[in-house]
Amino acid sequence: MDQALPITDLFATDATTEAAAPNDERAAGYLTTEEQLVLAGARAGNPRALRQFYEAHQSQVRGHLYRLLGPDSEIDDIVQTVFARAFAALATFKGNSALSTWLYRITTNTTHNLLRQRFRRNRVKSAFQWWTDGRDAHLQTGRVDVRGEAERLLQRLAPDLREVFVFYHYEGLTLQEISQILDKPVSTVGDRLTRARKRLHDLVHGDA
Amino acid sequence: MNPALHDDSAPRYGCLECREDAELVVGDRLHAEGLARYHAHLRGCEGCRRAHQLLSAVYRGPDPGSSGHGIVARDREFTAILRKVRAAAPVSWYRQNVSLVGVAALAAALAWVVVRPEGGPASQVASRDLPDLLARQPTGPAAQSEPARAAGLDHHAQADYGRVVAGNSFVAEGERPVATDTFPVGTRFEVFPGSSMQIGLVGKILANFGSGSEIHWTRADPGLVELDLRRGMIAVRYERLPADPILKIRTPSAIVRVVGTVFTVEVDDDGDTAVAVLRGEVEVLDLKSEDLLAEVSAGYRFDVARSTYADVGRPEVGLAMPLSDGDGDGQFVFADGTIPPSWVVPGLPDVPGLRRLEHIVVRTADARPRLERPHAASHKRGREARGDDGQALIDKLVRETRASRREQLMASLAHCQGLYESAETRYLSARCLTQFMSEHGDDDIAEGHLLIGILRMDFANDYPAAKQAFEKFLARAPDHADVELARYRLWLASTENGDIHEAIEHGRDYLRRHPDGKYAGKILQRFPQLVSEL
Repeated sequence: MDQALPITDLFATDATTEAAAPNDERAAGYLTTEEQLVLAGARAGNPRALRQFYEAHQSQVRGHLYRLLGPDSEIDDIVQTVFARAFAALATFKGNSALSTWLYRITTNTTHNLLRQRFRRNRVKSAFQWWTDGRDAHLQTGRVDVRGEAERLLQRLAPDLREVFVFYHYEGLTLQEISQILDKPVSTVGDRLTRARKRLHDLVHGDA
Repeated sequence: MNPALHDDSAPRYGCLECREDAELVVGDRLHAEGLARYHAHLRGCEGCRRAHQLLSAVYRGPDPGSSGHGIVARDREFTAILRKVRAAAPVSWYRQNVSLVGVAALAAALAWVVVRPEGGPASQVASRDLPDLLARQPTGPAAQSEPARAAGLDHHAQADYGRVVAGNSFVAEGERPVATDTFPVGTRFEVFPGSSMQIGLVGKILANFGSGSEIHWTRADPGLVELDLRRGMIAVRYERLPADPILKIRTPSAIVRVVGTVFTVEVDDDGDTAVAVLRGEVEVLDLKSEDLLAEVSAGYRFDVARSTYADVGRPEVGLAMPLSDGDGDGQFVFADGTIPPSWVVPGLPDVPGLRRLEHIVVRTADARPRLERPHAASHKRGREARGDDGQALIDKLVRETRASRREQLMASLAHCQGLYESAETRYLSARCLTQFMSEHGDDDIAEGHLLIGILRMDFANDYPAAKQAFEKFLARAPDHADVELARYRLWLASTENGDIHEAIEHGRDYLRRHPDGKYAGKILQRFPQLVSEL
């Protein structure tokens, strides 16, 4: 049985009043009043505020992971890791962006290495599978097959390109927002998006 | 100009052109003429049609709708997240070297005692340990944090017992009437018509049973607390922490599963169930298969038989009002008859002055009469269980004030007494008494602190504030006739808050001072090992 969680202790390292005050002022530009209240409570370790924070954003994080990784048994674990990191870092949230943007950033940092590892490991395997699927393509006409195939195509995009494509086309973010999340110049993000589209075009039309 | 070139006015549109236009079509950026050519080509080209479907699916993306989580799954996930946060917390240097620090601290303490034996740290700690919790105001984020409260039900003294807070009804354990205001798992309640009853369960759940209700407390273990509502209506407030048990309420037609919220459940004469939620969210499950029937969000009333939603109405909010004390999103507010801002009541404005019961639009579509089934209460054998610790106390407070104080004090105190006497309005008397004590309180009328402590504990589950008030009473009036009650309540607050070691100490202290006290049996019921203190 769990004892009372010492949440306050966990945030005590950075959650000094002096440090939090300027953050709160900056956050006022990006956060609604309700978000500011929840954030203040969550920083103080208030369990109800933490729960509200989680409830407000869990579908965003879970949805993004689903779009990025497809149906994956590890999504629930990654969601937990993302929120655990977010809770532990609440005190360091500077308020220079919306909370959703900040969470996207944590999610991206959490998944990036995983994506790269999987991409390297499965490159040969995916290529073989693609060859097999492509050979049998004339047998597959159903909508479900198309969707599954689309997900497999997306997995063949390099992680850097996939992230940008998912943010832009699935999450509906602007290049500026993606640039903020990935901490890359807008020109780099735009270039990656173009390359992602080109790569997907080639994969769809069998040029890859 | 070569006319032959212009004769070829219909340009060739083959697979190559189709591929080039594919992204434009999927992005809805191709002009109408090009779009017509594109689709004309698709009709005759199987390969391009397939590629178009695939590209559309890629740009549409996967559908995350199927990845949604139910309340209980989310609750488990949230608990796991908090566990991960705790596990990832850096171990402080002094914990890594705890033995070294311990020896150093002991040496420093000894040195201090040797140098300054007359001062010592004890006096300073004693004064610091008693912040005036009742005077806390929600002035900033730090003040909004909830009092630290133990999660989970680790000890049977907390898990296996409930208490009657106010009101009266027939209370029985099996066929045997319960003789005190403390009752165990397995207890059945039958609320008398025209009456209501408030109870506390496992120190964390506050429930208000409506007139004519019949409820059976069937289970309480570390993971699950279960009530069986056979008829009538109950309102529940449950400030659940992650490790606390889930609450299930069974009715003749459904199961309501709760992970922390304010809500009501009603069973009408036909056995049909309606669930209304004021804050948070509850799940309604099928009685047999336990499949999810509905997730009811705040502000809605779900009728299980009809599978229809309606707005929360005045009856539900009215029954839940005694649960409003301290329900202010972590702010320390006393109930004053205002509907808490955290409760969602459609049609009710946010202006505090207008958030009152009389401003809720009365539901007219629901012609069903409220349950006032003719009741055989008067024929029941056994006593009425009622939470009446404070009734004699407030009467005494009024008598003493009348004897020793000015007339004008009586008016405000009489108002508090009036609120306290009724189970329906008792929750309002905490604010009244606190105001009275802040204006007129001194050593002569210390009973007010004891009463305030009882009310904070019973209606707000605010155990730190209650313990503070009891300690203040004991410090101010150590020879008062009600110190026994104060010491009992101090023990009870520690027990229900899950502070078991502290509770054992308070229980031991009580038994030493009052070995024949009227609450000794209740203490021994929960801590049989303390019998050696007698």
